Amino acid sequence: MRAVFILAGLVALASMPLLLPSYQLGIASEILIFSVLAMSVNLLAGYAGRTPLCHGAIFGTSTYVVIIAAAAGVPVWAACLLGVAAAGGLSVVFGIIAVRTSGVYFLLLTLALGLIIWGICLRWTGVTGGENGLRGDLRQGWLADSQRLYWLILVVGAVLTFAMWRLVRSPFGLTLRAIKDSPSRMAALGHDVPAHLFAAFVASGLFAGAAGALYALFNDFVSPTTVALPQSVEGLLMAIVGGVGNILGGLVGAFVLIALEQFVSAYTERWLSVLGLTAIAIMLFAPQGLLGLLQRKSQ
Amino acid sequence: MKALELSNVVVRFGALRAVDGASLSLEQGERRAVIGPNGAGKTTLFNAITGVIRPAEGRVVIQGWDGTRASPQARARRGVGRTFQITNLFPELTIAENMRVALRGLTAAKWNFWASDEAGAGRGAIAEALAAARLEGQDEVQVKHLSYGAQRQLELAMALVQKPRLLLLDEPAAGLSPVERGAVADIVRALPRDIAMVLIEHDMDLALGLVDSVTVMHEGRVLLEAAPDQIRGNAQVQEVYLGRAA
Ligand SMILES: Nc1ncnc2c1ncn2[C@@H]1O[C@H](COP(=O)(O)OP(=O)(O)OP(=O)(O)O)[C@@H](O)[C@H]1O
Ligand SMILES: [Mg+2]
Repeated sequence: MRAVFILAGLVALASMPLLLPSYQLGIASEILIFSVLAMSVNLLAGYAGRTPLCHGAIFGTSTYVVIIAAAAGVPVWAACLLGVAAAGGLSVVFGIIAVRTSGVYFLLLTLALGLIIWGICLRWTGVTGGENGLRGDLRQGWLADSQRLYWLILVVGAVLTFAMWRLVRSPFGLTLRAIKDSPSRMAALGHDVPAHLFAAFVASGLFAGAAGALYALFNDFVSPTTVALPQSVEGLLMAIVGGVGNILGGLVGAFVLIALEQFVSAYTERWLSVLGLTAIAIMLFAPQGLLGLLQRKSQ
Repeated sequence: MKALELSNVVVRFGALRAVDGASLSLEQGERRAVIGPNGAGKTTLFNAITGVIRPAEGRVVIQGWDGTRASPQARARRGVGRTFQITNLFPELTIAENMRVALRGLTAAKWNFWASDEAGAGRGAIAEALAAARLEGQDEVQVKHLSYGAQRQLELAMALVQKPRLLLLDEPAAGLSPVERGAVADIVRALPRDIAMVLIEHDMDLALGLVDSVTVMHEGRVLLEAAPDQIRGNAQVQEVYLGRAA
């Protein structure tokens, strides 16, 4: 039964390029990319009980690296791998610093780490182009076609979602959920809590990096906005709006927020205010996210 | 080799010496009750043994191994198991999941990030520990939906499934009805005889019937160490407890 749903969902998503005009297809691509970012946030916020505010920076670091490496003549696929590796390396550093904290300290610490990356991207003009950002040269040949690019993003996103699904329902994933409930009991049982959180942080960073690499292909441009705090907040809110602790929450959240952003920006410039209000409404009326709300209604 | 040897352990919280030079030695397989009024430092002593708190002075030797500076997880791997006075479980997980997490505390299986969580070895050990704690037939119930009594039993089952060599029980029967307390006593009595055990318990009738020896704590110090039948009529013990009541 579930297999049928998944197959139907994939077929529906795969047929988008045949149904949607190119502008809307771009939005659909963006939704898929950000659902991967939200999924990476969800691993920490939903399963491990650690809410990060640095994933926009990890995501955007990968985007920068892909565009810079490709401009330096590295083949595009290798540049993407470099981007993911850079995100992983950054997560190693962030993880070492952050995993011994929890609650609001984890939130603020990851926020500060993200701000450092943003500051570097803004000031290191020689490499990052500073405020002007960098235009890439990636959308050539095979990638020039936005339908093919959409399918590529869909395949990568589906593979990553499958991997994340295995991860959260594995013994490793259960260990994370237990850490969320009681770190002190975990230590008494012989678990190394910081080591587990570190591994989860790095895994989460690799997913965010993969999303960032896809974004480089899609956007072909990167600027400090990509690594800035609002990006981290959006990734987190997508996870929350969809439903933390639910593997498809990221997809739902990305769809709702990006669709809302499209709609709202037709009328007003105040997207961030609307985003904030939406977040408050979700926390008040559907604290388990939209998927959590659906689940409760269907019971 | 002793199962546990504490020498002159001191734990300070600011100016308060919650444990004030306590020494205690436990033979293999010995069952010991630690009694004493509220605030005597019993739980803090457990925290010093398990590594939640590092003592300011003194030594903690577990099965001949100096664990004074070791982390809680390192001590757990040396065979130290414990239950908590204030129920400390994973409320969002089911009983079966709680037990799997407990079992994997001492194995590398927790690092497997690809296999299904439910697959794999350990079913037998988990069923055995749940049976020993008399907690059967509720495996798929989320812990937050369990009765308090069942939660206390799960506290025990999670410690037992690790097959500890030194088991520390912090008031396993606290807050339970007389019938449930009797059940906990039966569970403790039926534990394998080769496990060294320390039991903190306020109910003297319950405690004295379960142990080989008794340590009385008062204001962080060991006041007295004796056999159970010497404790009942002891004037010093009565004074300590009555002094609390007054
Ligand atoms: N983390 C802590 N910080 C500060 N003081 C503490 C802490 N833990 C315990 N104490 C204090 O240390 C003393 C001993 O506490 P402990 O919990 O060990 O007593 P206990 O013998 O277990 O008492 P009870 O029978 O009530 O469980 C008490 O005065 C308590 O307030
Ligand atoms: Mg206590």
